Amino acid sequence: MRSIRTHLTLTLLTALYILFTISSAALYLFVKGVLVNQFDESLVKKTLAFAGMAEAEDEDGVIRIELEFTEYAIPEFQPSPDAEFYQVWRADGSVFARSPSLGGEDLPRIEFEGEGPSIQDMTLHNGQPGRAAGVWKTPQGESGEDFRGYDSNDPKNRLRIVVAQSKEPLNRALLSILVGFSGAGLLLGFGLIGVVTLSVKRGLTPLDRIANKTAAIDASDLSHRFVTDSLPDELVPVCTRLNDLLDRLDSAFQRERRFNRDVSHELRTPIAELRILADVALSKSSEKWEFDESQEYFRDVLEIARDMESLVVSLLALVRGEGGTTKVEKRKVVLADIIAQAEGPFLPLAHDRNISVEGTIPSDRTVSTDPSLLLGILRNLFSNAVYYTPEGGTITYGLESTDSNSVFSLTNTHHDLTEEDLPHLFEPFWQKDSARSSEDRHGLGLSLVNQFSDLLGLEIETSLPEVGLFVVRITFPATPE
Amino acid sequence: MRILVVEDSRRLRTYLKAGLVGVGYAVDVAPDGEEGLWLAQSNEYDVIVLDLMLPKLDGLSLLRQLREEGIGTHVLILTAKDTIDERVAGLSDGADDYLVKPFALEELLARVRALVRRNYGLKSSRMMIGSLVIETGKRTVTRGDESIDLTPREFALLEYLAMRKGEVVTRSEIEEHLYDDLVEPMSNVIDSSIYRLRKKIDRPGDPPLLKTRRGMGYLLGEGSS
Repeated sequence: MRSIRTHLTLTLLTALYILFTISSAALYLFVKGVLVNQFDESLVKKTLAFAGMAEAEDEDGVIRIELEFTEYAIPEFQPSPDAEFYQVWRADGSVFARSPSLGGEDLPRIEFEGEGPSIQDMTLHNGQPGRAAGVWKTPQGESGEDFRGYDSNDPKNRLRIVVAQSKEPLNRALLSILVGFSGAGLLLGFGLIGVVTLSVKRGLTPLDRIANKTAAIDASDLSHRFVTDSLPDELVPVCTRLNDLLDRLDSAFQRERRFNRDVSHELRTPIAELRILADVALSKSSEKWEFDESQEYFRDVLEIARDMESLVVSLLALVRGEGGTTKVEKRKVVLADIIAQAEGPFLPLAHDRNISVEGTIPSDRTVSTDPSLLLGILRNLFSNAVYYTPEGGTITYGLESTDSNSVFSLTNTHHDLTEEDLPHLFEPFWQKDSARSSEDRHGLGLSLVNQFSDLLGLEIETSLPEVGLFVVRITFPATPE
Repeated sequence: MRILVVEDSRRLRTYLKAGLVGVGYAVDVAPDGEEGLWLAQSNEYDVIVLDLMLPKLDGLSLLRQLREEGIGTHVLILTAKDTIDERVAGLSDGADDYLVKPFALEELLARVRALVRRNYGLKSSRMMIGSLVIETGKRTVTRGDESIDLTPREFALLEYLAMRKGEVVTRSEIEEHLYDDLVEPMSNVIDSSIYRLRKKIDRPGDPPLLKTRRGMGYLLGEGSS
């Protein structure tokens, strides 16, 4: 499993180490360059200074070359562990002078082009690595001019002056710097591990809190919400979306729980009836059975089976509709025919209850729809109207058409609906009578009407235009010719 | 014993009554809360079997009203609601027991019997009057080693008299507790039931257990009066 914390820590540490290594290496090379440069400059200066001290003198007709610096005991060139060295050669290669620090030994001769100064590495006479600067110098006369018998342009008068120094002190200094950088790098490394780990941990703390709270969310209680006020800006949209998701989940779970509870309740009563009927029937001894009585039992069993079948069929239709598996096959149908087909089965009951059913639909009006789904809608509406209209009441229906649509309306008298009831009419299992005492109605009819209307693209609305009147209106879009 | 069943489902009401009558109870039924309340106020029942979701007046309101009026009849709630909150609400409002639909008739009968026993301060389902032993759970009666066959009505009469053993039980009390509203008050149905019961439980040679106190009523067992 990938961890953001590990990923961030490793990435940051790696990047910081690479940056530190590159910058340390660059700094070391720069310091080394500066030190070597200073070292070289110091050698060159000394060499040039020594060259500047070379003079030729006419001493009673004898030409004498004088190197003033050889006359002094310059401390750096005295024998010591850190001594510097110089050696002067004549043009013919013979040694003109050497520093006391050489102890009589010679510096290795170095070759260089031109007059110099030239710098190069060398191995000193004592085997140590060293660096040497050399120049060719032709001593001038005292007044800066040649004198008799002496020509300063004559190559034979040139002197090769070389000043050398061991590189050990320089190397030691460079090693110290390198060790210093490495030590600092090591300390910085440990420091970085701590700082980066802590920073990443602290930075991800809000994420951890969200993760813990999310893990604590349980399907049985979806009331928890994330407080976004104290969150970092980056996490606010995440938690806002999570809260939205929880809202939707909560209402879906509540809807499902309510639905399950209602289904359970609707099934409990017929099952209880069936069970008690069977218990009573079984408790009777066989000789006590009479034909009429047994017929009564079987009639009730049949009624219960029909009620349960009706409930199951409605539930399946609802589930199919919600699952999107209900087939919609539209074709042009004559509205008057389908309405007559829908109201027909309920007219005898309406007659028995002294309810008048009146309405006319123009016979030429057609709509493009799925006839079986539309029939389902209209049958449910007529069934409800006949069932809930009080005895002696009236049911009327009609059709209003414009160029853009046709509106079918069904109006019935009622005695107890209120405006507060209207939003609940299409909820599954809702019944005005909270006792749900009707054995053959489950409160699913209008839910199916609503669902079928959605499938057919019909608009459905309900209203109570005046006291005691309930109206359902279905708007059909105009049928394309 | 006289039971009131308040249940809006016609079929459930019918078969509950049949089941209860089948074991000898007198049963009145009401299809809604208002009628149920009226019956409970007008008669003395041993147990009321009460549905919660009722038209006109719901079961809990009916129950509360009964308790407010001081009617302490034992109430067995019968409902499709099964959450703990709903059970607690029913019991808190004065119900004595709770049965969730669907249920077995045997369980309902056992609970009704338990409530009837509580009515008469009995803890056991076994009652003994001399050598007569009545098992209300198994619905058996024995005297000595002999088993006695009784009809449900005779058993209910014996059970009622046994629960009040040692007391004189009047005809009107028997009518009130063992016969529903359909029995004519002046009919000789009680006399003939007592006669048949006496024939079955009192046998020649044994001391008589069921005695008539002329002008007063009937006594089972040794009474002080």
